[in-house]
Amino acid sequence: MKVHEVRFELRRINFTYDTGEGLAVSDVNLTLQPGQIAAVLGPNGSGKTTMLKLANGRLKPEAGEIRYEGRPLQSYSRREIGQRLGFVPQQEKISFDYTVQEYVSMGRTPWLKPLDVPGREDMEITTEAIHEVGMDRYLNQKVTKLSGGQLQLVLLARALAQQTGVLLLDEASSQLDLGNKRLFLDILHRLAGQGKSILLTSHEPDFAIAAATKVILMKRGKVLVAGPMDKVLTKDNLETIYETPIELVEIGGRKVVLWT
Amino acid sequence: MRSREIWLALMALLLVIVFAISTLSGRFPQPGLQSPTMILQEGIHRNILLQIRLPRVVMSLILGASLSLAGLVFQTILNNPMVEPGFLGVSQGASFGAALAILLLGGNQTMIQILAILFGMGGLFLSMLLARTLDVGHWVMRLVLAGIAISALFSSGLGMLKYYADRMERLPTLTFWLLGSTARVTWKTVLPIIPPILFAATILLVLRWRLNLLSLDDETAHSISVNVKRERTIFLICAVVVTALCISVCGLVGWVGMIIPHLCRKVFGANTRYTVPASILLGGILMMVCDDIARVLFPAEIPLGVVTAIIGASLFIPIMSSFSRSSQ
Repeated sequence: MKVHEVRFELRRINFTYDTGEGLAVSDVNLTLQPGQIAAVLGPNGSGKTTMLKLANGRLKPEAGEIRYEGRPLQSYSRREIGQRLGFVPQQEKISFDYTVQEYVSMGRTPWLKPLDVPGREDMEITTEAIHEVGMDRYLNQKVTKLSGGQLQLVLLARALAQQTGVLLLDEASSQLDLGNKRLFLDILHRLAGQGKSILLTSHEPDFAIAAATKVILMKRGKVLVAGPMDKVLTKDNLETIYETPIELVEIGGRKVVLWT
Repeated sequence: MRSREIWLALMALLLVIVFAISTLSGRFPQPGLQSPTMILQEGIHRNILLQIRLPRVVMSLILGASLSLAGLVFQTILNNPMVEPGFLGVSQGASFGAALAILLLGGNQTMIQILAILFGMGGLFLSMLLARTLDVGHWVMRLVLAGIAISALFSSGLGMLKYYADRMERLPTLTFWLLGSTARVTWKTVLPIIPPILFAATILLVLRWRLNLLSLDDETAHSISVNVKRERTIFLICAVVVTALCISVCGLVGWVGMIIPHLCRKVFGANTRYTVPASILLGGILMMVCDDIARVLFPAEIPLGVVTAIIGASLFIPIMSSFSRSSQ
């Protein structure tokens, strides 16, 4: 099998919503290599979520192209895209008492034929995915009984059960307490170590700094600047996108963002 | 895992037993259970069983199974455990269509069915259309509100039809039918709806695991390769077809579509792989029992819809209170 240097790529993406409020995102460029984690940072309404929806094919760009391993995303079938891109939403409304295992097993859908149900192998992969996020104890727990943080881990597990090369995470750390944030970071780094490419949005610069090596700063639908974390994440850039005085402090070799 | 399959098998067995008891019980010559030997020996008893009672029991079974199956589909797709086809303009639409066919088009059986399905779909479609324009609450809330409005519209249409109906013959028929009843069911009315109902139910049974996927947010479902629009349409059409066909024969029988799926989820969990067959079985069992009550217990037959409403409403109250407790 050919190894692609670039796994996932957004090339000069432009997109407007029908409501006619100007560009929702314009001229977005991004490349992700296997094992790379990139964070999209920006204030509310800066186009982070729109960008993620474009990346997973939910929205079609007006101009530009999304490529997976060198091929345009449109050239893949619906099932093939589900086998390549996993999506972790910020939260999910669940009204029924699914068990964690049942819920995560739905991530196997892209690998099932239309009339199939998850079989033994699918359930093994499901159990492994739940183990990966440290939720083994909750295998038969009802998802409606989980805390916000636990649910986010379960949603991540569902995307892992999809066995995709790329993971797209929308504010996936927003509900986590400090302990779980640490756990989540470790999981992300381990997944990157296994060769997965991860694109996450966040409005917490600290989390992005700890998680990613690449960062894209967005403001009002435009990419302000993108590149390696240590080059891009400067006091000036952060003050520009958040429009508030910010101090960057280095503690123990890690940058921490302070606002006053 | 295994235990759920055993439960299903037990329910299937219970269904067979209830079916047998139902065909053997009646009020002639005396109320209660009749001995199989008498039925075998005497022609009149055999005729009553085969020509009057059996089609009715079969219809009750189909009715209960269809309504609870459709209820489960609606609840899952709308991601709300408290809805049923009656909430969304489907039932009222279908009954208006059927009444229209009975009164204006001479009551041809095929015509009744076709109009019931068309107006049932129309009711759902209008409810969804109206829900889009409303500006209160979230999507399900809007849909239910729109459904109430559309249902009311069809009810008033029904009122008009009743007003114009012939007072001696058609009006009593129509009124009794609208209360929900299997009393006038014959093989002639049951047999034609069996093939299309079996067809739609088979599709739902075969695809039942995928119904789970439609309870997810659209965004998520899309990300795991589900063609949300197409699959939702398939499930909704099948659910409307089975509902409308039953209404075209039995009129409005409420509550079953909401209560049965709920009970099934209590026993089997949320996975539609199990709740779909469970709803079919339990719905059939309970409706046969309700019909037995309606025709055997009292000297004068009470409409089936009244029995299910009494039982349904009295079950609804504890379910509601346990529901609000668990969501605290």
